[in-house]
Amino acid sequence: MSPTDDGGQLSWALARRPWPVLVVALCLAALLCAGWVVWVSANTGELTRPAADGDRATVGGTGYRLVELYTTDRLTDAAGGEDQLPEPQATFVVARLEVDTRGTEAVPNELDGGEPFVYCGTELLGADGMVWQAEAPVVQREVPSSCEAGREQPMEQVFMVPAAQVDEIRGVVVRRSFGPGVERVLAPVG
Amino acid sequence: MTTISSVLAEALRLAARTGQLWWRLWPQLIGVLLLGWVGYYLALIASVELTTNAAWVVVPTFAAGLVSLLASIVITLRLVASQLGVTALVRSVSGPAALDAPDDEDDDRDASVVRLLIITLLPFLAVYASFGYVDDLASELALLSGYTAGLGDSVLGRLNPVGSTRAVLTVVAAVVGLYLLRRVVDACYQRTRWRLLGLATAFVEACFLLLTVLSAFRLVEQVQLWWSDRRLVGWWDTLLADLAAGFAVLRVDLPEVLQRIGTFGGEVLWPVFWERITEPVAWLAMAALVFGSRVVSVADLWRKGEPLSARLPGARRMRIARRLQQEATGSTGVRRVVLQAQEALLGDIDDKYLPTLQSLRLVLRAGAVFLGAYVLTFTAMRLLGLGLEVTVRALIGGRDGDTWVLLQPFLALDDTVLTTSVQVTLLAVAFSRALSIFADRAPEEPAATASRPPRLPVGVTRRLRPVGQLGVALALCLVLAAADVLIDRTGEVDVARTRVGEPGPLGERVVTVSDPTFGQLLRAQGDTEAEIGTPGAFVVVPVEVASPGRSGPQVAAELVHGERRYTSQFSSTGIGPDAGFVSRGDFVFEVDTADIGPNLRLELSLRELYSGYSPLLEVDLGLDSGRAERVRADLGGSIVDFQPFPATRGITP
Repeated sequence: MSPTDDGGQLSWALARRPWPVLVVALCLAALLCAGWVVWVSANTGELTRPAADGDRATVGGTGYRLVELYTTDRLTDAAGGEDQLPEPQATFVVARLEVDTRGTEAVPNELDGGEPFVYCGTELLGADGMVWQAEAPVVQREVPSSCEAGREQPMEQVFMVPAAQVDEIRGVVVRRSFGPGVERVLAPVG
Repeated sequence: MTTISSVLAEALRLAARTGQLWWRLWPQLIGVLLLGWVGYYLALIASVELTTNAAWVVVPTFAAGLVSLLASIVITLRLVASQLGVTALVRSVSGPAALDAPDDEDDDRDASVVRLLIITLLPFLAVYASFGYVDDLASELALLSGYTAGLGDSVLGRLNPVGSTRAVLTVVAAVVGLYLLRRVVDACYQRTRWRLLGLATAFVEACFLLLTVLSAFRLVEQVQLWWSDRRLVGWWDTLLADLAAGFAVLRVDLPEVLQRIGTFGGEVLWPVFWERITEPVAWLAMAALVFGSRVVSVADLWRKGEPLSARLPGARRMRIARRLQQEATGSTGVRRVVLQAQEALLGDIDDKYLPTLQSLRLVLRAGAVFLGAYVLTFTAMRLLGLGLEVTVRALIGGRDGDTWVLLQPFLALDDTVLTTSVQVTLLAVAFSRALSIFADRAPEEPAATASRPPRLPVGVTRRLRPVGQLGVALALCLVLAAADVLIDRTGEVDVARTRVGEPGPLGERVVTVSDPTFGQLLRAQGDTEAEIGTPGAFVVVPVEVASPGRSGPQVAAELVHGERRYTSQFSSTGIGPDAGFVSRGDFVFEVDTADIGPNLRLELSLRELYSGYSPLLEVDLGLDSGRAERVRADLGGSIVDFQPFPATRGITP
C-alpha cells in the first residue's frame, strides 16, 4: 500500500502510526491542563506566595510591609467617641502596614479635581481558603485605611473575623490593584 | 418499504458504519483533535494575558487558536476519507473523461498538510462563522478576560472603539485593511505559490472575523441606535401602536401576540431549522471540499450531458468574473482598475462560498431519504453528546462560577474532541454513501463499467415519490431536532429541595428558611408605625445563611407561584455572610393574594457575575389549603414586621 493509493502521505502516515500521535497529544494535553490549573488559580486568588517574615512584598509596583498584626475586641475612636464593637462571637484583627506607592501606576481620576488614585486593598487569609475583606471602620482611627499615590505611608486595615478562626490566621494577602497576578501573603514577624 | 422505514434503515446503516470506522481510527482522531484543542487553549491563555497590555495583539493571537481548531478538523476529515477510499472511489470511476475535465486549480491536496489546509480553510472558516461558532469562541475569550481582569479591563472593554473618534477610525481602518490584506495576500500566493502565503490567507480572514466580533460590532450598534432615534422609526412605532389599538377592539393584544410568535420563532423554530437541519447539510458540503474538488467534476459526468458548473447558483457570476479577468488583462487605464476591483469583490465569493455551494449541490442530489437519514443520524449523535455533557455536569453538581472557569477546558473535551471525532467519521461515511447513491443513479458508460470500483456494502434505496420522501424525512428530522433544541434550553441549575426549618445546601453555604409571615401593612423592626401598605399581601420570609467554610456570592431569593416570580423588595436583596459567619435576614415580597397557596415556594440562588451549572435551593413554605385560607382571611389591615438589615454572628464550633 502506497501513499498515493491510500489517499495522501499524511493520511497514510497517520493510519500506519496511530499511537505516537495519540501519546504526543496526550502529553501536550496533560501539560496544558497543569498549566491551566496553575494559571486560573493565580488569577482567582487560589495561588498565593508567602513573603519572608518582615520582608517587603511588591505587587503591581506597590510595596507592602507588615509591621504589626493583632486582635482586639473593640476599635477605639481617635475622636473620643464610643468604641466600635464586633458582631457576636467575632473579633477584630488589625493589620498595620507600611505602603510605598511611588512605583505604582495611578489611575486618572475624572472626579475630585482630577487627582490620580491608587488602590491598596488587602485581605486576611485563614485556614482552608477562608478569606476576609478589610472593613471601613465606623469610628475615626489614627492611621488611615487607604493609600495615596506617589509616597511612602502607614496604612491600617481592619478585619472582622469569627472568634473560632483567630488562631488559624495565616497572614495578610496583597495583590495587584487591577488585573490578574499571583497574590502575596505577608505574615507577622516572629 | 415505506419512507419512514427506508429513512430509519439508512440511518441505522450510517450509524453502524460510523461506529465501526470510529473504533478503528479513534487513536488518530482523538490525537489530532487533541492537538487542535491544545493549540486553541494556548492561544486563549495568551490572549487573556495580552489583554491588559497589548489588546490589539489579542486578535491575531486568538485567530491562531481558531485556525488550529479548524485545521485539526480538516486533517481528521481527510484521514477518515482516505480510510474509506473516497478519493480512490472518485478516481477509479472518473475514467479518461474526468482527466480532461476542467479543474480550477491544482488538486494536490494529497501532497501535504499545508496544501490541504490552504485549499480548505477559507471556505471552512466562512461556514463555521455563519453558524455562530466564531461568536461562541469569541464569547469564551470575552468572559475569561473579564473574569480575570475585571469587566472594565476585559478584551471587550479594551477593544471598544466607541470611546473616542481616534479609536473609531482605528477600528474602521483595521477592518478595511484586513479585508484588503487578505486579497493582497491571496493575489501574492496565486503568483508565487508560496505555501506560507496560502496559510496566511486563512489567518488574515480569521483576524478579520474576530475583529468584527470583538470590536466592530459596537460601531454597528451605534448605527442602530442612531437609526432608532430617527423620526421615520417613530412614525413606524406610531403606526404599530395604532394597529394594536385596532386589534384591541377584537380583544387581541397584538404586541403580545407578535412577541410570542417572535419568541417562539427565534428561540425554537429558527434554531431547529438553521442549526439542526441546515447545519448538518452544510457540514457535509464542507466535508466534500476536504475530500477533493475533483468530486464536483465527476458529478458533472455522472449527470450525463449536464455540466454542473452551468447550473450552479453563482455560476453565471463566476463566468462573468472569468470574463472580467480576461478583459482586464487586455484593458488599460481606469477601465482596467474598475475591472480589477470587480474581480477582487467577486473573487471573495469564488474563494469562500462558491466551493461550498458546489459541494452542497452535489450533496442535495443524493436524495431525500439519504439526507433525512443523515440529518437524523447527525442529530442523534449531537443528542448523545449533549446527554454526556448533562450527565457530567450532574455528576459534578452545582458549583460557583470559579469552579466552572477552572473546569472549562476539561468540559470542552466532550464537544471539541470526542463528539467532533464521531462527527468527522459520520461525515466521511455519509459522503461515501452519497457517492455510491450517485453512482447507482448514473447511466452506464463503457469506461466506467470496465473499471467499476468496489462498492460500499450498503443497500440500494428504491425510488419513491420525491415530495413524499422529502416530507417524511423532514418531519422525522424536525421531531428529533426539536428534542435537541429543547434539551439544550433546559436550565443550567442543579436543584436541591428542602422544607421550612430544615437546613439545605446552596453551594458551600447552608441555608435555613423559617415560617413566613403575612400582612397588608409593612413595618420595619424598631418602628412604631407601618410605612407601606398594599392591596395585595406582604410576605416576610426569614432566612439564615451560614458560611461554615469559604464565603462566596450573595444568596438571592425569589418567591414562585406557578409561572409568576416575585423578587425581594423593601429589605436586603441578598444575604452573604463572610467565611465563618452566619447572617439572618428577612426577604420581603409583595404578592397577589390569590398566589398564597400550597404551590407557593421560595427559590434561593447565588448572585454571581459569572456562573456555570449553578446550585438552586427550592424551599416548600408548607402552606396547605387550610392555612392559606386562614392567612387570606386574616390579611385585612394586618401589620407584618420585618428586619431591614441582616444580623451577623460568628459560627461557634
